[in-house]
Amino acid sequence: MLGVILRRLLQLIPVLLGIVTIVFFLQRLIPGNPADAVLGVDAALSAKEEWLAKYGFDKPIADQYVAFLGQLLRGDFGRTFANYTPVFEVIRPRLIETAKLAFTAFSFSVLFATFIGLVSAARAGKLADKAAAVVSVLAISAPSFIIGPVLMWVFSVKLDWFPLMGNDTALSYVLPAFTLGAAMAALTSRMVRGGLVDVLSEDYIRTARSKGLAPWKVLTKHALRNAFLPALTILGMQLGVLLSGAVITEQIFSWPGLGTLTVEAVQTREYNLVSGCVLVMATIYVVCNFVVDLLYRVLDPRVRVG
Amino acid sequence: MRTPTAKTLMRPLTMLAWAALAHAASAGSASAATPSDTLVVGFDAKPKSGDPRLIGTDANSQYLEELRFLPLVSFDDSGAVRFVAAEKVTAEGKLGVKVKIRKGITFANGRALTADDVVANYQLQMAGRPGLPPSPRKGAFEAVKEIKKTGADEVVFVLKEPDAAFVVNLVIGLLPKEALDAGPEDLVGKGYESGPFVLEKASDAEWVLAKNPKYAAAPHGGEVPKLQRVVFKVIPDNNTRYAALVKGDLDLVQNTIDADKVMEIRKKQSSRFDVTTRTSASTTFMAFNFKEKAFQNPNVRKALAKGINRDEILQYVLQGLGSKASSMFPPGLPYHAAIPDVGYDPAGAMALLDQAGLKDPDGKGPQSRLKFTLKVPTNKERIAIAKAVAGQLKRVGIDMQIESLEFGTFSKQLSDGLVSAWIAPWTGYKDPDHLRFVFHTDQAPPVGGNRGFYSNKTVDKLLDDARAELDMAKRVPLYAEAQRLLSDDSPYVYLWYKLNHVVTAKNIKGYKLYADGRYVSLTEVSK
Repeated sequence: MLGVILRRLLQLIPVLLGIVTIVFFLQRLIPGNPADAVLGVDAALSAKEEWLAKYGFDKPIADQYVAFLGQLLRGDFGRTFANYTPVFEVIRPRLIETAKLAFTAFSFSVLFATFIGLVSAARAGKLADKAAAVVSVLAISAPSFIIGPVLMWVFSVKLDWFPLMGNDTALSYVLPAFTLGAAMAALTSRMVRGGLVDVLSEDYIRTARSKGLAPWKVLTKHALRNAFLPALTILGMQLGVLLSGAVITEQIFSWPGLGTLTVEAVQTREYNLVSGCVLVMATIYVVCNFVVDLLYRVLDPRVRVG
Repeated sequence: MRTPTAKTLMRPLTMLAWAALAHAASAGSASAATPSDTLVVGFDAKPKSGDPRLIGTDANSQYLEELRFLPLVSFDDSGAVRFVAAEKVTAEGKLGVKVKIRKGITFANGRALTADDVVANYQLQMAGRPGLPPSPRKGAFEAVKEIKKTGADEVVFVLKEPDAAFVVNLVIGLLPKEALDAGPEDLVGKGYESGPFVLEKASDAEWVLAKNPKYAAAPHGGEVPKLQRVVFKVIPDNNTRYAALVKGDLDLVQNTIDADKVMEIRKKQSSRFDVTTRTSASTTFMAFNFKEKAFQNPNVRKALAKGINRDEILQYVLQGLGSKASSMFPPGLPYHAAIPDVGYDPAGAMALLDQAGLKDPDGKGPQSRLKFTLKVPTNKERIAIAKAVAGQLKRVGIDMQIESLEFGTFSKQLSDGLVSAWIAPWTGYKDPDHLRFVFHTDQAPPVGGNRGFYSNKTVDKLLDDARAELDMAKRVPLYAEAQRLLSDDSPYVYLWYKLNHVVTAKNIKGYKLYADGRYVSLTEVSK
């Protein structure tokens, strides 16, 4: 297992290097430059040129790339242009906020999806199953820019049950986490339900029932473990998405996360910050996928992780 | 077969829900009214920097800068220069600008502001400091040859050439000279502020300013804050900001609520909120690139001016939050020129197009007299305006296509002189020398703001003469004449002056709108 982990960690290096290289060149292909963003379009040309020279943007792009790689090797992502703050000092609090929201939304999704999936499978073809199917389709179809404002207006502005924005109290997590996790919960619940319906017709389930095990024990202890495998892949990828920041949900609920930071950084041509954000996101994705692979191995020992 | 009941399946989730509720209850209620000694203001974006050495064009950073660090000069509510840490600013010969520093101004650490502080601050703006990038505002001091201390409370800026507008650059928030070697992260909590407020907390979600206890004397005539604290909540989404205001989470929102929502508040929630408006230092215009053959003909430019029904756009797009413009500077500014309004005249527009040789090819048919592309940034309001203008110009036979670009891309194309026609605002006028930046032949891309390559030697001379003249009373007629010539030439079609607007909760008293949107009157607010 240790060898597998080490091999996968080594595979991370070319992936991340490739990503930051693509981002490095893409940023410089976009029209505009950081001097316009920081000094303003109306600033004197000489001031812009001096500012760009200070950061080495007057050099050929190949030289800039070599300097960038040198910085990377030293673990230095540079500083922001606007406030001259080290890039990872800007990213750290945003990543923490994103992680808090992501894990809340993820936990809600998993719990909700499992419950709905169990009920639907246990009542397959009956009213509860059909109602769950309708609600799931609605949740998958409704985008977060609809769900978020509707929840906000009803449960915060009108009913005053939850805060409108911010992250000061536990209650402030409810609306953004629901907005973020609703589609994921719905999708996962359908997968859990489908898996369970398949598994419930297997011989070993019949055996378990014939031994007189309580129905909920059969469902949760015997069937769920195998039925959950297909959902695991989706959950792993979704966790990666959540941890990379959810721009729309963050924007609606004024949640200071990684997604909005990245968008702001692109808009203001904060090259160093964009590279840092993308590197963090890419690492999260790769690690999440790796963890899913490992979990597969735990849940199904026949699976080999290469 | 026995199937599990919903009850058995619900049991663990019910327990979880109770646990969550118990935790939530212990953590606090969903909402609370804003505290009585605190004003909560809605901001649309986080200030990019709180360090006067690094602040550039970001408006929110500049607003907070003045609340924390007194500058030598600032601007009053109408946009006229107001002395703050400077007691007097006088010309010394043709090239000297002498600043007498006001006595009695202290930093929060108790030390008095001195001429040495002023010299050190401005030298840093010009020369920079190792370990910091060049100041974004360095360009404003390119005309300065040297800064010298000429007395205990006197400083002289020696310019390379006469510049009547130089004084408006003295708006940098002043730090004590010992703070100039500190890193940007070390300016908080050290008593370096000299303004009415000190920074208590800055995060991605909010900036909290607390009353500066050493600001009691207020020797420059500024008010001592009536409230203990001002919280600037960063709410990037327009609808959320509106919802926060309606819910009571915000006390004051200025200029960052959509026009239709402001009108809705005015009509339906007047019992809870006051809406105040005043003319802003902002002019929206349509401009043309003189490298395009069609726009070289003045009749075409004038026809475009006559073909736009500004009343209609003001009413339906801007919801009345603006007034028609006919020149660069809004009424109220001392250098406003009363130029007659062109007026909406579609028949006149078509006659001018005929004179320009752009005859209607097919009467009421689909073909157009003139076709061009107007570029705008991807801004909801700007796109709505462009669509309205396109619809109106279609009535006079002009086919105006709209291309919206990401803001950075739009700005880059504009500053490189690559845009045929565009709609944009100029904002925050400090001096009529702005006309030189926008219309002087020397200011064509990539140097200045003459992005349409307009050129008129008579206008150039008037603007040069006005810049060299230090007496404002003598400058005003020169700018008035330049604006009259510009009106004849029509390099711009002036559309409207936007109205600044502020929505305040009913219990908020004393807030005054400034033409350029600054928040200095927060010191006078009570609740």
